Amino acid sequence: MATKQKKGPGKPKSRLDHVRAILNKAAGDSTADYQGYGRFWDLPLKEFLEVSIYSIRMIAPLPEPIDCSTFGMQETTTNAAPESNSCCGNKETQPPPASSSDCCSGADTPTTTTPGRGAKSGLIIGLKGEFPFDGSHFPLLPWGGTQVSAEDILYISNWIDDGCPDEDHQVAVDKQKSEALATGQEAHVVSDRPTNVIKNESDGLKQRKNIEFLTEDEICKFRYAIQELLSLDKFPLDNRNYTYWGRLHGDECQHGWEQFLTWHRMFLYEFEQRLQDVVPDVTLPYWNWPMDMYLKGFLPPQKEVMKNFSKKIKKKIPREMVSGVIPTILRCYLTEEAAKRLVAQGVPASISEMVGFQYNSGLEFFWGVEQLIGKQALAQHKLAIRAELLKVNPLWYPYRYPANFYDANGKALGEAGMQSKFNHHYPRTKDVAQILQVSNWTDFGGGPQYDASYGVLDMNPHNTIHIWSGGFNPNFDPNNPDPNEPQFGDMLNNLTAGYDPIFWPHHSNVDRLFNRWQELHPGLDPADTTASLSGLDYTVKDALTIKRLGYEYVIGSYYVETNQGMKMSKFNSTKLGTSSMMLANHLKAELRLHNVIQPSVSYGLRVFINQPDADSKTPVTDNPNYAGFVSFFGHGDCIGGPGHCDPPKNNPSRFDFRSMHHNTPRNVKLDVTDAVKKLVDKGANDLQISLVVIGPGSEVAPKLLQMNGLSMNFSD
Amino acid sequence: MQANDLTTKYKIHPAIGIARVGDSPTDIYLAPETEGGLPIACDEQGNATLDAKGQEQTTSNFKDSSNRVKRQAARFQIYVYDEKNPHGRELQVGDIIQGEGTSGKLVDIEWTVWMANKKSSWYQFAQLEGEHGYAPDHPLRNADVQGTDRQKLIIDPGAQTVYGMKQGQQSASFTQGENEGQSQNFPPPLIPNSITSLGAINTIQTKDKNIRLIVRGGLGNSGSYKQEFPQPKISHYANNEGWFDDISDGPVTAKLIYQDDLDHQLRYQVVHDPAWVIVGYPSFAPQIVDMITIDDLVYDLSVRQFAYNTYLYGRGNFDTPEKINPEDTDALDFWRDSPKTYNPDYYPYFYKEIWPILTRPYYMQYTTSVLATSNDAHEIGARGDFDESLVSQPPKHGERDVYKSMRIFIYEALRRPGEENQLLITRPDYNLSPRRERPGQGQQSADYMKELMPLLCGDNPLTNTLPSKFLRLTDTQLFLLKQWAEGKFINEKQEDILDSQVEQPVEKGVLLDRGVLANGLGGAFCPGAEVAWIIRNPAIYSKPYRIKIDGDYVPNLTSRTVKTTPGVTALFSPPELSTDNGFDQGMQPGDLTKYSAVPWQSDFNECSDQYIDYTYDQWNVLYPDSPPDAPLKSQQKTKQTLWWPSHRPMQVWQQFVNHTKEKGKNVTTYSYDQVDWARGIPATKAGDYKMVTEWAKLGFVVKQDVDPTGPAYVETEADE
Repeated sequence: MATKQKKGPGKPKSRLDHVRAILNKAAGDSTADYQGYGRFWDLPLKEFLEVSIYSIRMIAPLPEPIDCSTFGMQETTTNAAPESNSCCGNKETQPPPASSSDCCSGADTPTTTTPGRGAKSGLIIGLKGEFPFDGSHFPLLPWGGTQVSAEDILYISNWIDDGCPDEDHQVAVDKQKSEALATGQEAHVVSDRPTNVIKNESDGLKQRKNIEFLTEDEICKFRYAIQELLSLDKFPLDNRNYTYWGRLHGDECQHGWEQFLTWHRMFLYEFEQRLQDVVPDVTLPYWNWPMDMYLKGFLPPQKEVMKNFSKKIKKKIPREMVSGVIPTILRCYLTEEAAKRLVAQGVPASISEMVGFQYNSGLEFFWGVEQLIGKQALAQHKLAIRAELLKVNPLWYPYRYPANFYDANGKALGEAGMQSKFNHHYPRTKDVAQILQVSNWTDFGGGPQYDASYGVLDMNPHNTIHIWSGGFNPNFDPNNPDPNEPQFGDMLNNLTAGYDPIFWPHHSNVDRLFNRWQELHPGLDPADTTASLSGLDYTVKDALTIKRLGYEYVIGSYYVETNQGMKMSKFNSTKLGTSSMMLANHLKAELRLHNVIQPSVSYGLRVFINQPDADSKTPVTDNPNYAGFVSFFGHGDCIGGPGHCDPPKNNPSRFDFRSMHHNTPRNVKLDVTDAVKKLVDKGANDLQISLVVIGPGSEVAPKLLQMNGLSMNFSD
Repeated sequence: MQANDLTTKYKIHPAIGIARVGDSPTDIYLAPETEGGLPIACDEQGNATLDAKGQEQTTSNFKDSSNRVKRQAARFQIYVYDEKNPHGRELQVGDIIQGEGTSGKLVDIEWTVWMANKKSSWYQFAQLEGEHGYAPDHPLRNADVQGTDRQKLIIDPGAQTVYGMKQGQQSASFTQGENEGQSQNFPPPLIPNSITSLGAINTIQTKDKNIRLIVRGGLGNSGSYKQEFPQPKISHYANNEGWFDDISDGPVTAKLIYQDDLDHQLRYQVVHDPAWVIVGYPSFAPQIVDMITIDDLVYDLSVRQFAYNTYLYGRGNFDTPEKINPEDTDALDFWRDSPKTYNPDYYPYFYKEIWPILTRPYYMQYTTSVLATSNDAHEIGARGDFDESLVSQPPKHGERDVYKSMRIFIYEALRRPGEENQLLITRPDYNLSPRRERPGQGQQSADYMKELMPLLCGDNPLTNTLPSKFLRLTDTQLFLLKQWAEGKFINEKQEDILDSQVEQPVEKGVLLDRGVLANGLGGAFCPGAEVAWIIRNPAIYSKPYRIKIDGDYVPNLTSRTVKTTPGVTALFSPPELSTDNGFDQGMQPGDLTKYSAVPWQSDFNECSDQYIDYTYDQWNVLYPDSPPDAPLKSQQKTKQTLWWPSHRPMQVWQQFVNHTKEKGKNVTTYSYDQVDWARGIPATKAGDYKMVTEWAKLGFVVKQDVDPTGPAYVETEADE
């Protein structure tokens, strides 16, 4: 039994000191060499964290960062967490004691906690005597010493879970700063953590976002997760692999009747879960087809396309090689690294002229390459080049010819071609608006089994976009069939559509419109809600709300993390950093307060935008900066015994079906669309949120607001 | 590693016991239970000789007072594995036995053994032919005996049962006319030595009330019933018409007799894991270990065929190795069919797993003179290629791996799978250590060390059918040495890890299973020593180390009230021993040794050394005279190669003690002479016949500790 170290005079013992003391005591006079490291726990912490003894890592590493450089992007991590400097400006993972009056007093520096990291560490496994330290290969640790008590092992394990801190300083309480934050003198900073990481931690709904508004981090994770599933294709029996899902769609998908929307909702949900097995905070972005950037670029003029090529190419791209505009992150591009690898494989060096541009299709890209390296070299290296393109962007797809439609003579027809061949046009905003007005399930979502018929969403825009993104391959030669040059793009036909990654953003948007329609027309269900969904282990009923499935749709959102322990009289955020595109494109702006602690006395909150000096006297009428009002119903003095007013502390159990506790923190949603619109119309290009506590009667603002975050969410 | 379920299991250990013939009718010693250990001293009943502390004593006296070779007896014990004893302990009288639905105190143990010799009724041994099934025209031994008469070629004394205490006889013999109620078959009178017994069994009781079984084999008698001139003669190393020997093997089963707590009736509980006994010829150099032992072989087989150590070898997931129950044939078949690899992060222990392999060739210098002439190869002392103080050093953090070149040098010289027919290293990527290379000389400088190791005979250096000229280590041995060569190994001494902490099996009895087999020969098999290549056939096992027994030849393997099945004397009428084989039903008495040479003395004598023709990989025999082929003749290359000097000594050291007086003081000095071991017995067919009568006069080779400067192992007890 190691004893608790008494704090003597001088520098207080850190947890690391204590961990070392436990291990040294147990090691006794052992001379174990530990592969030359000796007592590795006595090494400088940085080295200690890296030690592997006989290939077993003593301290489990943090989750591997995702290498975004493959995609020509910055590096990120699977669960990025900030380095925190001050307890008050940041969220704490553990809620503070309910009675805590000051968030900062005596709290340890919050660091990255990784539950289970200790248990995965060779040191803990070895101390516990778990396999292979159970004597089946190694004796338990420390070798030549005595067994460490379960209590001490837990102490070390917790220390590892808590990020192996070097020193646990008692934070020098910055009362001033704390006071400044709690009174609005200082602004709370917008979190740089991905919103879905925060959502994932708090078990909130994850956000499927507009594909054009993803952060670099979100783009990288989406690509990475797709690539991981693609890499499982070499295990044909592994049902996590990408091709399994493509084939499942081809084999089982429901079109042209009432299960179209529900089947695809669950299909996307299942696939997204597979992606989240790889990266927990990744979601399927949606492709809002009629956005201006797509419409105005619909079959861009050749002159426009030529801007995407090196000046060395003098020849003008033929019209039939020009493709329609697709979402940015799905496009075809070459990185410098990939170009180098190709040159190393013998591709003429001039291919590097393609680096730095983006192309709507491989048709455009390979046309450019042909101009640079010649027809023969292209034919020789085309598959190698294609492999590199897929490596740098797994969302690009070679069998995708968007808006490439031709007449019998091979002349490009563009949208007119789609119109004439398929009697459809590319969906516009007004088409979508019209569809959303349909007020019965059969017309919107399809007819029932015994009277099956297409719903409008299914037919157009859904079918139209499939056809449009698939397109015809101008290189198809019926006299000389080549499996790499098929007649149609994969999206054009149901059996192959699921293989093209553009499928997911496309269907994510279909699902978004389905959800929007449900919000507009609540209570409309298909005829048979108990029918099972073919190939998926769900019934129609399971698919009738997306909330239960854990996601929502937004263009994007901004999150400010606060310390739930801090009591505030006024809250100010920094400027959110909203993009002008977001401000211009959204239909709805919603302000949310997260996990607001139930107050003991009732109070109100006034919300101001871009008026950081607002206080309780600031006018609310004729003030364009006043955005709305929230009131809280206080619970009053506790009438019960100890703990009566404390919500259940531990993780909510799946089997706890009681109603919500009267003091469980609540969420607040406030529609601020009008306020934002007014400010934007007046020229505002960013937003800053202020919350002013209006106390019961008192002139001086009381510190009553406690919450662990605020977010601004835009949707379209 | 073995799966351990929570229900109570009773198991006999060792799983395979090894007895050895001897011409002493009375004296025995017990089989050594550790690799290269001396046998255990005991009285004529098999009670181990204990020292003052109660520890069992070993012996290096292999002959009795009349200079006859003592027989090595196989000792069997029964272990219990249950919740209280997950690692197992030996069962004692008075222990509570968990029967089927009842329980009670152990009052006695009933042991049943059935040994037989089927050699003369089996197929002729023709190297590797037959290992994967015999050709329809494969010749039988004694083919002139036909039809049901062939049954007479089996020596079958019948099964015998003995008890530890008062429930019945405590000893029984496998002797002609001494097995009432059982049908027997013995050969007619033989020349030079008739066979009237295959041995005997008896129980002993220790002071801890353990009831153990002692099994002894035959007297080493061999002879032929063919007597007309020029018979009897020996004309072949493995197949001789008319000949028999008294080697044998067979199942060892046991039942626990307990008094039911409820009705005080005596009831049986069958021991779940029965054993097998094999009788071999004497081990004349018991402390000198074979390059591949039976344990090395069975361990390799268990690892690769029975998912025995899925941390070492399996389908991946080495962090959480899967557990496959070897008796779940579907699961095991699926496992066998899956792609598998050795764990690239398996770190063997140097002194437990590596050093024993490395030192084996070094100690063979005491049973052959060849090594002394080979420039101190295998030297484990200072400046040797195998210098212990250097090759035992794994790379350490922060230091250069300075001894890697030594390890690579040794590992690269090892014969790999597929190189069984090659003498020389021809691997294109073969590259000796930088230490060995001299500037400007490159590959050539390495050429002096060009013979693949081990340089011992393989399974078939004799004929052109299925040639396998040279011995190679098992896959598992090679893997362990590869890890070592790459620096992935643990020096347990430097890690302060005790021997007792190093990779202990979950079941303690496994130490006996493995320790006993580590003193048997695991290759080459032509046909081998204690047992031939059949021992590496997974079909003969029910699970790792356990021979699958044909239930027809075991009296009542179900548990019942005692009175209804007293041993083999009632309700047990087995079919006659089969002259055929049935792996599916299991093994019958005599089925393991029937492949071996008859008589054993012929192969034993001839397996000394061999000129191996290595001109062509697939040709052991060249006929340059037919038609005359002078260029071929001139190119023909042969290598004189030893078979297994550890098992059949070639040259040994004699130690002479000289008492002199120096300056008035008595001084003892020692002198040595290296001599042929089988003096007067040439390695010819005539010599083979001589070996039949003279083997018991040969000396034993044991470690000497009176003279640290002399050879470490010297000959004793030779009958000049």
